[in-house]
Amino acid sequence: MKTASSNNRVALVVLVSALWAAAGSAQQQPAPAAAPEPQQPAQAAAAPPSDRPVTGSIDFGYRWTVKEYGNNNMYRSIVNLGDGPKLFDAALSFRSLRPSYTDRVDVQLNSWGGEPYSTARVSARKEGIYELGFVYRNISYYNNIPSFANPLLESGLPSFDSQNGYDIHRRLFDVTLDIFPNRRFSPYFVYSRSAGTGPGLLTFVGPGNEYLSNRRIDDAVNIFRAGSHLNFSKANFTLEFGGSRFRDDLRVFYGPGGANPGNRRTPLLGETLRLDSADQQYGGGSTTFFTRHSATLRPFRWMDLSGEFLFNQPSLNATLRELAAGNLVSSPDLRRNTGQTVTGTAQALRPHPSGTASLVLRPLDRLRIVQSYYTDRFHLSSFSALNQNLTGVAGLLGFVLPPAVSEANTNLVYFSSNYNRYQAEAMFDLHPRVTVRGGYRKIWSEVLHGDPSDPEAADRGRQRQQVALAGVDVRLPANLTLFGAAEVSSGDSALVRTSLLDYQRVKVRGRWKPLKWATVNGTLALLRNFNGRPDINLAYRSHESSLSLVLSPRGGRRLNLMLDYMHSALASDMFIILVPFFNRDISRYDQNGHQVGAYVNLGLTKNARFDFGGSMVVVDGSRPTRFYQPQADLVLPFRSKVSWIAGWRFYDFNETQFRSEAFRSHLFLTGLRITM
Amino acid sequence: MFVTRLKLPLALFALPVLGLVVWSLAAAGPGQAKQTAGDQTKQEAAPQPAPPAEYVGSETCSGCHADFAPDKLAYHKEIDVVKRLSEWKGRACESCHGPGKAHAESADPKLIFSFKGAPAAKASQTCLKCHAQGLRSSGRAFDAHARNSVACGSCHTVHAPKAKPLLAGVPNGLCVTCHTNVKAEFFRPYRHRLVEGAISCIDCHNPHGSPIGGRTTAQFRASHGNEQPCLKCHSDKRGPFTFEHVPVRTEGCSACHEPHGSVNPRMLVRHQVRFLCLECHTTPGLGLPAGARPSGTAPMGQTPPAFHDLRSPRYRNCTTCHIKIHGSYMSGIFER
Repeated sequence: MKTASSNNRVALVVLVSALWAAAGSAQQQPAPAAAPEPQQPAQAAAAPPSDRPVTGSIDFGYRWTVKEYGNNNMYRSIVNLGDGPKLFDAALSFRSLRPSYTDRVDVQLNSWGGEPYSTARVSARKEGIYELGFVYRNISYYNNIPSFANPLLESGLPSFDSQNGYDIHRRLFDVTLDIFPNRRFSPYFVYSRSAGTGPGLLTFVGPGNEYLSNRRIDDAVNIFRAGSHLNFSKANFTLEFGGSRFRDDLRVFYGPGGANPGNRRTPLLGETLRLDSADQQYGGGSTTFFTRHSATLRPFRWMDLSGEFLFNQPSLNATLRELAAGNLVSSPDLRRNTGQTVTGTAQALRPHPSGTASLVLRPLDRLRIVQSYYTDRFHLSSFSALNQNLTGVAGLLGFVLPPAVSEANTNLVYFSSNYNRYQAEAMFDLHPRVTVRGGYRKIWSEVLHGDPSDPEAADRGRQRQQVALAGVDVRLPANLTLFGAAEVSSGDSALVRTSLLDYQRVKVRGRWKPLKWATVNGTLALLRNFNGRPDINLAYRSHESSLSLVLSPRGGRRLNLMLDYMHSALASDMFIILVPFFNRDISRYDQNGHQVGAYVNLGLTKNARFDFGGSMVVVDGSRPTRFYQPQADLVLPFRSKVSWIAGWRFYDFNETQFRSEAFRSHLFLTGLRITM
Repeated sequence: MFVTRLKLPLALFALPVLGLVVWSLAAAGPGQAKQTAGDQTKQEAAPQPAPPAEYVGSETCSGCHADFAPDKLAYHKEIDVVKRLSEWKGRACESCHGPGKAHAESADPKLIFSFKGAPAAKASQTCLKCHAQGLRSSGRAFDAHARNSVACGSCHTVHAPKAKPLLAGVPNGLCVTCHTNVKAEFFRPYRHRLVEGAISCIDCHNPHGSPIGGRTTAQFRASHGNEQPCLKCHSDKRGPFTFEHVPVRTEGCSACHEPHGSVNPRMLVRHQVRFLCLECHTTPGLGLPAGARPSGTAPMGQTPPAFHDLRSPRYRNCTTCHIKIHGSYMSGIFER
């Protein structure tokens, strides 16, 4: 698991040099420019047009980390920011002052130079002709939490690697083109790609034992979709057609590197199992066609009709090739062997239609009645065949077996789901400032999962739910707005034991703007879910209450203050069965957390700013956790268009139950901001 | 097989196109001429101008409201310059605020439509006269914003946008002004990288409403036509798998994960994996008190076999064996 590549850093240095040169030429222009808001590069993109061809700013510099103590795997799993030269942010707008193919090009770059999440966004537009958008994201997923999926550590053995870890880069790429040939017809084209590659850790699972091995993740999906909006005086349509192609070339491998004893450290039927080498290669490929059509009709001023039809049909063709050597046992008959060769093939098809229809009636100016129906259905038909060849078969407990054995088995699976939801709601304006609503929702669905050749053994699920809906919106004088919504459900059956069944949900939101520069927001969300079946006895209760305060006197030029606080409490308990003795127990989960965020932006002089604040998470309950993230940033101008930037970040993470996973780290950065 | 698979999607695409062509031809016939008649019904349904005498033009508006002159607007100045909106040329202000003659003559603010203070539904209806493209408005029946009287103007501003498209703030910052509890969830250690700018709220959610969230209360942005948005990035979890893990498809990712942020590794909703698994995989009926009988249809799921001795750490870490828990190509118990 390595850190960021040096290639990115070289590219970054070249890029920064070029930008520095560009800034030098920009400084020749006498027009002053306001410093953009820190951490909000998008504002430059939406800044009012100026008479200069290039506007924006670039932040770049160097960052280094100082680790006080702690677990580096945890640091990388949670923070993952490293040392080196960085392009922190860049937001540039290029305007064409003469007639051209583009009116404007906006470029945003965030976190380049071996950062765990680098993004680039470019958009170009010609008014009334086209809009072109490009987004590239390179996101690093590092996850190696020593206590997660690590039975050896739990057994007291010195094993500090998770048996399900990874260090991958997922590169996401989107290009969107909207064309406006006329007011009625506006086609669009979208291409997206998501590709993940990188090493990791995973177990090679054999009968009776599982062995920590390496894995190589390599998957990619390419999605293309195109469609058009069709606009008419009383109707709007969108037709979209697309397809995707996905490949998954995962590889799990071990050795040569000595015998791997696996997680089982006791003999199985007298045999001590070990893995000498393994190579498991998957070749998964999926092709999908999908369509999405929507229509909105307004036949009368008092009626809106709309509907969507969506369909996608992915298909799978997968192969598996597996070689393993060691002292192994086979499945399902537990034959001891020294070598296994497994080949497999699988196919699946999953047609998935869904659709909506909705009707909005406005019989009176103050009354709206909204009815909607939603259905989502799919069925999966799949097949797999595995062929297993064993060598060196010796039998267990002294039984003599043939030296080579070949076995094959096939599986057919059928899985269908039919989900339906109907909702009717009436909204009435009691007063221009008060709206009340009430309604009803019904959900019914069926799920069937199993082997089509044995329908009696199929796993069946059924969901029946009736929900009463109510809400009120009040817009009081003095800029006080309150929203309240409640749902009360009575269910007959749920698909899985933890599903919502008999629940009450209440949400209240309020916003008060007592002054033009002061805003207070508050939220209260309650959810209680019960399933009273005697063998489930689920009682789930969650509560979130949050309050935020934003102060921006004089448009925030001198001071911005943002305070956020949330208290969250969650308690869930239900009956579970514990094997091997099938005794009944209770699964309890508690979480009682306080999350606080506070940020202050101070404008020291015209372009000098000092920002400080941070967030704090204190959670007690089943997994007590503390996570502190204070930070401070300073911007000091030393030339008309060049400022010195400096920053500090601090991360302090610890968990009461897993103290070895705690870490504490400082990050310092320094650099320049060039404003154009 | 490929051809068989292709037929149905093609038909699904072709039929609406054919219907649309027929409908368009019909609409372009005699009915089109009626549009310019300016009757009240059509005026409500589409942005057709009222009789010109009631309009004063944007220049008159700019006389008092200089800051809001159309040429200073970020996008709606297109109304004056774009050919496809030529019927509103010179009347950009009144295309939203309605005829302004009475207001201009009396300076009475009550004589012109103002979005500020207007009921949310009415304000939104004005925007939707033009901005009713299917994917923006067809989900409004499912849209929690529309149902809770959150008007277009709560997030968008025509006169002083701070971000595209006409947003009153940067997207994530704008969302958390109301969804303050969600903002706090992103302070937690295991989270999606939203604060760091890698993703945005609208990568996953469609603020204009979406039927994709029909199985949940979230307004999801669809991927692959009608799949959950999670699968756009986490494409290896999408399948189809020969052996699907049922709740992944029927309950969605949030059955096991807290998508915004969690204090549990892998953003799980439980502190240890085994409880997450055991809460479902417990045979219905087993463990009932003496004499009690299960009622209704039992939920799905089965008890792990007896050799899963939960006293051993090997069996307490379910995903070290069931490594393909989201779905498997080859193993019905997700082991390979």
